[in-house]
Amino acid sequence: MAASDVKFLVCLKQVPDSTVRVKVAADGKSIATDGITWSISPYDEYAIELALEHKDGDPSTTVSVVTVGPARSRDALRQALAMGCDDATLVIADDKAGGLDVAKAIAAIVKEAKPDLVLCGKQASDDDQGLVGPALAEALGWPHVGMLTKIAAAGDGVELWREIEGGHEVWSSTLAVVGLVHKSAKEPRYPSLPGIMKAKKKEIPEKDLAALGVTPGAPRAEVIAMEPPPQRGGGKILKADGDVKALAVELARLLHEEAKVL
Amino acid sequence: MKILIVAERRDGELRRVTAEIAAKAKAFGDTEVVEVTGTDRYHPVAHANAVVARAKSSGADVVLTGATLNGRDLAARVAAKLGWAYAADCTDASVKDGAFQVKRPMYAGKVRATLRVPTPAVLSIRPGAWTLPAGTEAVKPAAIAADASAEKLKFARFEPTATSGKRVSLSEARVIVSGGRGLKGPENWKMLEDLADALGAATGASRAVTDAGWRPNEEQVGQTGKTVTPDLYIALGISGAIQHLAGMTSSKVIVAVNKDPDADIFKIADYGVVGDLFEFLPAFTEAVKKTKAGA
Amino acid sequence: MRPEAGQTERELAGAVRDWSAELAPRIADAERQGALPADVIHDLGELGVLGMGIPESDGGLGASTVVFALVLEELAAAWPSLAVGVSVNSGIVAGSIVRHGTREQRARLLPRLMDGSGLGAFALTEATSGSDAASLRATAHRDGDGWVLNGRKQFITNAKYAPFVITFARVGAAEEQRPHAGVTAFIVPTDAPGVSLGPSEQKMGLRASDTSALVLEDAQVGADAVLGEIGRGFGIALAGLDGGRIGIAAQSIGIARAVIERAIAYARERRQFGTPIVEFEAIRFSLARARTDLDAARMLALRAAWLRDRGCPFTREASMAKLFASETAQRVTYQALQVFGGYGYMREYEVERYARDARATTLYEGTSEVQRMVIARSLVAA
Repeated sequence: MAASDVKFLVCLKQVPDSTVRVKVAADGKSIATDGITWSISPYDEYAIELALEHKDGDPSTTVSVVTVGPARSRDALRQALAMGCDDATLVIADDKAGGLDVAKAIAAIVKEAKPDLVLCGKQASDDDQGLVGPALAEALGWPHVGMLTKIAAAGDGVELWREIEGGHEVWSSTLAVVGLVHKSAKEPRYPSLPGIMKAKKKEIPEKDLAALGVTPGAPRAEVIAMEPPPQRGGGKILKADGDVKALAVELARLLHEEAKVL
Repeated sequence: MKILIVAERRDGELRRVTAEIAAKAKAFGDTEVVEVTGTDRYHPVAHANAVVARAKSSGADVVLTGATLNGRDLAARVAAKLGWAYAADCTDASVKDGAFQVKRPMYAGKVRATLRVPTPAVLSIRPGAWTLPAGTEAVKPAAIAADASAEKLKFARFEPTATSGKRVSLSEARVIVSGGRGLKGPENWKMLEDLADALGAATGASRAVTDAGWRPNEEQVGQTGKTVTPDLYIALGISGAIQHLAGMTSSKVIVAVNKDPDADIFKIADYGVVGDLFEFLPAFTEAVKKTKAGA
Repeated sequence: MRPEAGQTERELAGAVRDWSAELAPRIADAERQGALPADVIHDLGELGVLGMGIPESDGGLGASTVVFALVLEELAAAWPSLAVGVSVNSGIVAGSIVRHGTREQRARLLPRLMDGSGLGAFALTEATSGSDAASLRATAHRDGDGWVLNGRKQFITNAKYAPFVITFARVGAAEEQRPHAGVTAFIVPTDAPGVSLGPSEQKMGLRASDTSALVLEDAQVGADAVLGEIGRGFGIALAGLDGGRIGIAAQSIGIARAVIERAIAYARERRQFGTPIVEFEAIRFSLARARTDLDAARMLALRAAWLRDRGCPFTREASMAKLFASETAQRVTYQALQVFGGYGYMREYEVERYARDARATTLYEGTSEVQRMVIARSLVAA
């Protein structure tokens, strides 16, 4: 990786905030969006943080963000700018664009912006597919590394740390490469108050799919029904006021005889 | 329909999920199980190239992988390379009117969705989603060779995590013992591990715990960690933030131990113990050992 | 004036709310130990909260008093002890230096109030003089180019964290006809020779907020230590206190909001006689009154802040806001505690802490009685 002026492009998606209690809408195949809070998808926040951590160490780094989505996604880009990203691009698209279409649109942005590294969250916390990152890499003819937790400069290229069971695989790659981020070293930073003020003054250019040469329609999975996960509850509550030992034996018995999992 | 199944190994053995898929997929049509060889490890580009080449040459209509770390990574890239429809982490699949109909969690497990996936398609199937019928014949995958020698992306080395040992893998474990902030500090994990050992369980943790550095990230269960569906999930000192619940609420049986009777975890627990963790846990570990010895 | 804050103002407050939500697991320990963790103060610097009222030309955010009030509300809703520390540092201390400091003093002192390395302090109160600042006893004498200070200041918020303390001392003798004569504001570094701190006070509430005595025994400071003009210190103190009252109002509002939110959540969950207690009229009316008082308090505080931002007189309005909001906080914390029943009395449920913290709001920066005097004086003066 070059000693300075490294360019990151982080792809993000605006999704219902992780604290939102998701409800199925009246149509039975989407979620009710009335009055819900939207946020940057958690893994995308880690991707932003990972890029900004690099920028903390080397201020010549630029971190751009892009999203493909409805107009409300502008708020997510604004949030990323407030965290400290340099510039943002909004590609307007509706539900007709599937993962492969979105990847093509971002690939067109990448060809224009020519970043050294592209980072995505490993999956968006709405559809949880994890398709766009690998599909983007494929569209660009770049390699990708998933479960990314760390990026380190190594000669002309980079070392990419991929978290797996029991440790990390360290992959070396020349630039350019797509990283699918699992975690950053630190928790994603909060936007600072001056950051929020600065972000408000920045222009966010808007593009549409047609301008990027993308016509939605690539094959895709289509949601035909949604339901809440089966309700749990009505469990047995045991109170440990008295004989803890007897209680422990009773729980072991219940798990063995009643639940049959022991 | 022609089905290409990509096998996966762990420590030299075929993963259980490969057998689960191979057994179930026979209902969809002709199956072929392949295993990518020729590289020391899973290589995201080389493996995808090998699988795509085979899918094309064999005229497959659908590619199935396990929804494991590598399986999901591979399936997504294969789908992109082939330009096929894709669904990740399916908990069920059936064929209807020439297309697949799959079930899969969305919104971090807060919703269960049914999707229509037109063929040709790539699907990754969650481990444990399909039970393996007793007496199923062992799978013998055909080798397909990958070549990573010309790839710009190269494996450099493995950096083991200091604390992780020989425990069962979290995503495939049938029993999981998870700890939260209620354990008060990393020094108290010994108690949790004693119970996990007695149960032959994997160990998990809440996000508060991994954020605090008490346990490695890979143990985190929940929205930004792993989604697990074991037969038995034991939550110790975990209050049950919605993000944690999203990752474990589909477990078959949930046991919660917490001193706060109002903790949200009790709302989804099948068995709840209200009381002091530090008194209860050693007693319970003993009781489990005795029950197992007697069983 | 709008009845609600504007979009940007709410966004800034919202950012502080998101950040402070993560503090929750640490509060109980810090309160027990009686100290604000250094990394929390550091993070407040990074977030730009500490410099929010400092003009952009001096390196701060240049935020309005309205933003200041909303941010303090958020901090207090999460952790009142922290809000007190920030209020003093970023309100009265930073404000006094911005308004009265020389260019050199601003460049030298303001960064230290913004960078998260500590929290500034303001030392007016003495054992025998509180809001009656005219009976102040600390003295300052010229010594070559510099000054020598003597006296004992009491109840100094942030003293333990402070890089320097704005300290009021009298130059020359007290005059019977002119009680404010000679009162001068000095910038006293806490590491200057002759400066020491008394032990931290053991308080009923706000335990993580430091309150210590500042002891001046032939304390030596340089010529550049004088803030504003010699003999004009009392005006500096009064101007600072007016703004500070908006800060206390905002803290009171944050405390009241926090306990109302908790009481509603608890009342929905808690079942008695087969029904959630939130169904009982006694509980519902209590919540309705609490919320109405809260909204009224916030409007009073925003009005005072809005007037201040426009350079209008706001002394009376600040006193009204402080009086009403602090009494609201006290009443509402007790109402919330009642909703919680016996659990409310237990340490584990935070309402008990908020109730103790709220008790201070009618006492510091002028008791309720002093506020009524200020308000009444302004009414009958015409």
